[in-house]
Formats: sequence, structure tokens, C-alpha cells
Amino acid sequence: MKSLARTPALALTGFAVVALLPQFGLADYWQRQIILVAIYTLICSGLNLSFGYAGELALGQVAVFASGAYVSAILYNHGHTDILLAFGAAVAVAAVAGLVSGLPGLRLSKWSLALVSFFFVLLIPGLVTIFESETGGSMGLSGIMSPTLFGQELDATGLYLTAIAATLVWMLVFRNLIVSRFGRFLRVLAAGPTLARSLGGSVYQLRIQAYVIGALPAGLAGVLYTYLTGFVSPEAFTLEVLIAVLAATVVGGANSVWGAPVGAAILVLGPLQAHSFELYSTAIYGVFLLVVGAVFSGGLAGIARRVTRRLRATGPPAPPGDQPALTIPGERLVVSGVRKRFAGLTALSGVDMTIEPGTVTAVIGPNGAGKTTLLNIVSGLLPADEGHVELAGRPLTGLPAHQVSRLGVGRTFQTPIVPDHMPVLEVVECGRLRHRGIGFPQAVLRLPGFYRIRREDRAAALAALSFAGLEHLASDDASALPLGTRRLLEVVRSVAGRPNVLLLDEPAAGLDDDGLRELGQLIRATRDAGGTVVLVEHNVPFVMDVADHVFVMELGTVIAGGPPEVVRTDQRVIDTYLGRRGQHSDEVSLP
Amino acid sequence: MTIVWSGLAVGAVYALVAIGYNLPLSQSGVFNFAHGQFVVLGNFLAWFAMVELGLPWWSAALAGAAFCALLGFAEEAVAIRPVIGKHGGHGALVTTVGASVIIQGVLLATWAQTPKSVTFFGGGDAFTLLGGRLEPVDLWLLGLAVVTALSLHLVSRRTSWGIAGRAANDDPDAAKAKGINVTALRATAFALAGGLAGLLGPVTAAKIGVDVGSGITLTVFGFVALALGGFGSYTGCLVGGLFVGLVQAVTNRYLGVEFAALILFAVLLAVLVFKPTGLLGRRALRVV
Repeated sequence: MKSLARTPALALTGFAVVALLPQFGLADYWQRQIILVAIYTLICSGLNLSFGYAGELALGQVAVFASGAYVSAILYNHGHTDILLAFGAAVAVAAVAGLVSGLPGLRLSKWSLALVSFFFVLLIPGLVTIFESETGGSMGLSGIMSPTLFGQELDATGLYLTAIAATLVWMLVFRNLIVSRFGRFLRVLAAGPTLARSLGGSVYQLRIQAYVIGALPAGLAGVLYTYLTGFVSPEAFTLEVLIAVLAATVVGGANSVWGAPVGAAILVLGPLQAHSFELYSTAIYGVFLLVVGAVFSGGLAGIARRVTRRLRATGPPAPPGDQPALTIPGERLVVSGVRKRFAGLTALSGVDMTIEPGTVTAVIGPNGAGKTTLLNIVSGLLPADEGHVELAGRPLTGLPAHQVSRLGVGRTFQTPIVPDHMPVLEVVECGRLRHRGIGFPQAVLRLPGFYRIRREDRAAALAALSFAGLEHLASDDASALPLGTRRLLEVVRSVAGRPNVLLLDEPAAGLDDDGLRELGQLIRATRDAGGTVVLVEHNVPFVMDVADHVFVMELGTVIAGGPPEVVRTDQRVIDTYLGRRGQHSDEVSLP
Repeated sequence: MTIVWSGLAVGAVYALVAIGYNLPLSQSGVFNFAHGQFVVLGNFLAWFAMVELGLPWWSAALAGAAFCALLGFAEEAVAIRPVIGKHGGHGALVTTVGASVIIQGVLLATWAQTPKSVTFFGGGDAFTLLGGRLEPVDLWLLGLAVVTALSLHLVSRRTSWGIAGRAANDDPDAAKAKGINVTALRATAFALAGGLAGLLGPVTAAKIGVDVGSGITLTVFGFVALALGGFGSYTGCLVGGLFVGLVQAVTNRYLGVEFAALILFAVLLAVLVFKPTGLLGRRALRVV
């Protein structure tokens, strides 16, 4: 994030230089080309947001672009020539178009969303024909020249400066969003909706926000396009445009902020200049998509990132110093009478458990006993058929997972879920997402609130990392860590969010002795800091070592509960789970 | 009735595109965005073989099948295999869009420079059936779509190939552990789907023309057919395709050409929102 925090100065200089070019006699032709770069930058960066960061290939951009272009042309023909008014109207229409094109994405994902949004482009000619009186049908609308700004007519250079300014404003908003909690949530969403929910994010809400915000710049681009060409017709909004934009986005680097202007510049200054290229342009875009998609999935920005990472010596991002002692507000979790059936199979048949604050409680049992189902019900990922779950006296039953998370339930997964290419420190900061909202206005405008939240998130994340002794990894790429470390990292991520109860789903699976020892220490430290820990685990020696209280489940019911030494000698537990040999207690005692 | 026949005939083409989507989808869970362009390519190959080289229709069909099967195999090797299972990438989606654009782009730069057409080998004289006028090619297409859908339906249900495909689709790792060659299944499905597009080229070319512009319509309406019928179901593809064709024909006739896409879009949204499994599908798409 450090590099992103520094980029605006560089980018601002770049934009300023480009804005001054007409002073140095930049020819009209090149001014128009640079406005085109700005237009494509806007469209591509919208795609970056929804596709690159949120991982949803919503291809409605060209339709939104068209709606912005038509809105400004129709306004112009009705005598409203102010370009700011056109921007405002286009952004409003773009928001609606983004919402509509994204609606199917709430139910679908990946390729079906891509196709549904692809369909949008097919609708343009039909819609234009149906509303022919306003849109001019296939003949288009012409003579949309000379917009005004505050009553002054804009000349060519005026339009040029407006385009640069509009693009800069959007790019800064976009960049501020990406480094804020919202951007982080989008990357979490791309890593998996389940993770997003368990960190307190409503998947529906995040997706809608991504589609709507991603559509806005395409609306701006439409206005600029209309006034640049003075002419709008359905022929400007074809599939070829969509494909060119997609290729530019992917080449620039889909999951980067400044990849969009680079990709757009390559598109406009390269392929669109060479007339001899036109014949082969489509085929070459295709090759770009295929090669970049298959080999350099980060695009040019990805390559740049790899180079700078190699050049820069990686050290800890901030001096850890003395971290404040971490306290975790553990609360009592009560599960009563919970039942769950999957079709004909009874997974849970009346489970009662009370988990005391400040303890480590383990749930063990053979495969199919219903342990993970129980965790999923407590964390809201599955609805219970009957029964109640309460945390600190507040009912959790029936709430969706993201609300359960916001009420204080943190959890980890059997297979750790870590967003790609995210530094460890940021992964840990994600654990804090469930506190307070995203804070859109604070993030976009960089109000003091944004900095305060960021400071608090960072401090809590560093404290949690040093808690586990992982602070030396803070700037490493989390997805490249070994399995055991990623397991610990998931626990640390939850701890950073100071959960009232922490659910661990088989954290010890696949860990070697060192890993087990570190995990055990981390769990005990969490409890000593006040946390309530619930552990579902197969590794009996590990459980007997670390847990204060053990519940044994079999076939959907709790067959025993108590301190480890009591459970270990319980005849039913020995018969059904530990096995006959368990009578010789050294089989299950600690190594 | 004439409208019904023309709708069903175009619908048969959509059904065949949907079947081409469904093959790799049910054998490996990969959606091949490029299949619509494979059908377009099949049409061009049919033109090349029959008009340019003067080959008889059956050898044009076989040659087209061989070429498109190889291309499907190559697409799987180049566009799918390197990205499948790579975590976090948008992978196969972007690369299959890329493959689709490459086919389109190459055709645009070469054969599509001049308009082309293929006359149907079964004759072009319209006749009356059940009170509606239709041409032999319409009947051929309907028959081919029905036969293809039913035979693939049976094959996928009854043979170990189909069952292995379902297993691979459900859980690739578990399927691998059972000794199923997941990659081979996927490659076979891509080659088969491609081969089918090439094989039917002489018939589809006669119906929808030899035109790059039809690619986008085939891609999208074929998907609508697949979504309506239900992902994973070959008979669903048939029903969905015929339905889309009928809606299009009726709308064109009574409301105007510009409304067809809008109405199909509304139908698609309604199905995806209210019945995401489609009419005959068993496997729900990943639903949030």
C-alpha cells in the first residue's frame, strides 16, 4: 500500500503535464487523441473495479457508455448544453444502468454474469430504434458541438482540459476507494463470498456497490465522447468497442488503479492509429486477451509490481515498537436445542452447549458427527431448523452470516482463504472490517475519519501479528505462505477483529509439530487475553492439551462434556470415539 | 404456422449452440464462450469446401468436423489448461473470450471480406406441412437438433464417459483420486463440441448464412437457450433453443425486429432470478 500511497503525487504531475501540453502547441489532432485516451481510461477503470478487484466480469460497460452519450446528446437537443449538467445526468443514468446490468449477478457469478451483461450490448440498436424520436434511430444525432461550462462556451482546448480534469477526479476517487476498506472488501469478495460474509460484508450489497460505482465513469466517458465527436449513433457502441476495452483493461492490469490509463493509451496510440492495423485489430485483441489472460494475469501493472518488489528491499513496513497489550472481549455462547437436517440426513439432532467466556472449548467427534455443521450454524452460514444460538444474551439465530460476524463472531476455515497478492499485514487488517461501516464519504474525500480508522486498523493488526510472533512477515505476500502459517494467519486475522467468540474449524489439520506448538500458543494467548475460543478438531492429543472444556459429539448429539481429563475417561467416549484401545490411556495422552 | 416453422428452425440452431456449450460444461464445468464462433467458423468452412473447392456436402461436413474438433482441442490446450485451477485468476473466462475474438478476427480479416452463401444440398423448394410453409433445410435442422440432443442425453446418462464427466464436474480432485482423467475428459468435450459445429456447418450455413455478424447473436441466444433449458441438460438445450427461436419469430412478426432481443432479455432475467436451474436443469449455478 505504501507504493499506492505515493502514486498520487506522480499521477498528479502526469496529469498536470498532459493538461499543459496545449500551451506548448499540441496539435488539435493529438488533443483529440488524448481526449480519447481519457475516455477509454474512464471505461477501463470502471471495469477494473468490478472485474479486476471484485472479480466479477460485468461487461455492461459499453451499454453504460452509450447511455451516457445519448443522455448528453438528448439534453443538448433540448437546450441544456452545460457539460456539468450532462455529467450529473449521465452519472445518474449510469448508476441505474449499472444496477440493472448487475442485478442478475446477484444470483449468478462468473461466466453467466459475463454473458448476461454481454447481452446488454445487443440491446442497444433495438432500444435506439424504439425511442427513435429522441435518439435519431440508426441515423444518429449530429451537431452536438460546443458544450458550455458555467455559461461559457468551451472551445477545443476547454473540452480537452475538462476531459483531463474529469478523468483525474474519477481516478482519485477510484484510487481512494481501492485503498479504503471498500477496496479491501472487494478483494476479499474476489477471494470468496464466504470469506466476505464471515468478515461482516454483505455480498449482495458489495456486488451492487461494485457494479454501480464501476458504471459511473463509463457514463462520464459517454458525455465526453458525444462532445468530442459531435455525433452519436448506435454504430459507436458495438461489440468491437467492448472487446477493445476489455483487451486494454487486461493488458494494463485489471487489478490495478493506474493500469487503466496505460492500457487506454496503448489502445489509442497503438492499434487505433494504424489504419493498416484495422483489418487485423480484432484478431490481435483476441490474442492479447488469450495471452495476457493465460500467462500474465496481472497485465503490465502486474509486471511493474513484480519489478518494483524485487528492486525494493522488503523490510517491516512500520517499526512495531511496543504494542499495547491486546484484550479480547470474550462473551458467553449458548447453543440450545439446535437441529439440522439435510434432506434425509440428520446432521444435528438437538445440540445444547454453553461455552464460557475466557475459555478454550473443543468439540471433537468422528467424521459426520456434525461438528462443522454446528460451526456453520453458529456463524450464520447455515440456517438451523430448530433451536437457538445466543452470544452474550443476544440471539444470533436466523441472522445472515455478515450480521452474525458484525455481532462479534469470528471464524477460520478448514482450507485457509487468503486473497491473492495481499501483504500479510493487510490480510490481518481485513479482520477489522466488521467494525463500523465502509465509510464511503470519509474514504473518497479522505476526511479525518478515514485516517483514524486506518490508524486503528493498522495498530490492531500489528498488535495481533506480534501476538502470534509473525510481525516479521508483515510485508510478505500472504497467499505464498506455507499452509501452517496461513492457518495461523487466519487466526490472527480473526483476533485482530477482537471477536466476542472465535470459531476455529480444524486448525491443526496438516500441521507438523512446530506448527502445532505455535498454534497451541496462539490459542492459549487468545484465551489469556480474554477471548472465548471454540475449536473443532480431530487431533485428540492437541485438543486434550489446549482445551479447558471438551464436548464430544456423535451422530448429531453431544454425548459427553467436561474438562479433558474427565472426558478422556468417560466410558461412552472411549467406546464410541476413542476406541477400545483408548482404555490404555497412553494412546490418547500427550506425547 | 409458417412463423412457427421458421421459429423452430432458427431455434434448432440455437439449441445446437446450447448443446455445444453444454458439452464441456457438463463434462468439466468449463464454459466455452467461443462456441458461437465455432458455429460461424463451421459455416465458413462449409462454404470453403462446397463452393470454393466444390466438394460434395458430406465430405465438407467431415472435413469441417475434423478441423473444428482439432481447433476445439487446441483451444482447450492453449486457453483452458494453463489457467484451470490457478487460484484467483479470472482465467478461463478471459481466455475463452479471447479465443472467440481470435476466430472472429481471423474470419473478419480473411473470408468475411466479401459476402458469401451456401445453397442447401437438400434442395430449396418450400413445401407445406401442417398448414405452414417450410424448406427442407428447416426440417433437417429440427431433426438434427432432436437427434443430437437425445443421443447426447442418453450417452451422458448411460455411459461411463458421461458419469465420469459428472463426477469430474462435481469434484475434480475426488474424480482424479478415483482414476478419472479429468483433463482428457475436458479435452474430449471441447473437441466433440467443436467437431459438432464443423459437422453441421453445411446445414447451418444454409439456414443462417455465412456471416461473422451472426456470431454474437448465436453466442448470446445460445446462452439464453442453455439458461432456459437448464445448465447440464441436453434435452433442456433443445427445449430452450426451440423456445428462443419461437419467441424471436413471433416477436419479429408482430412487434418488430427491435423488440426480439429485449423480450428475450426479459425472459432470461426472469428465469435466472426465479428459477436459476432452468426448466430441466438439475445443477443450480452457484447461487449466493
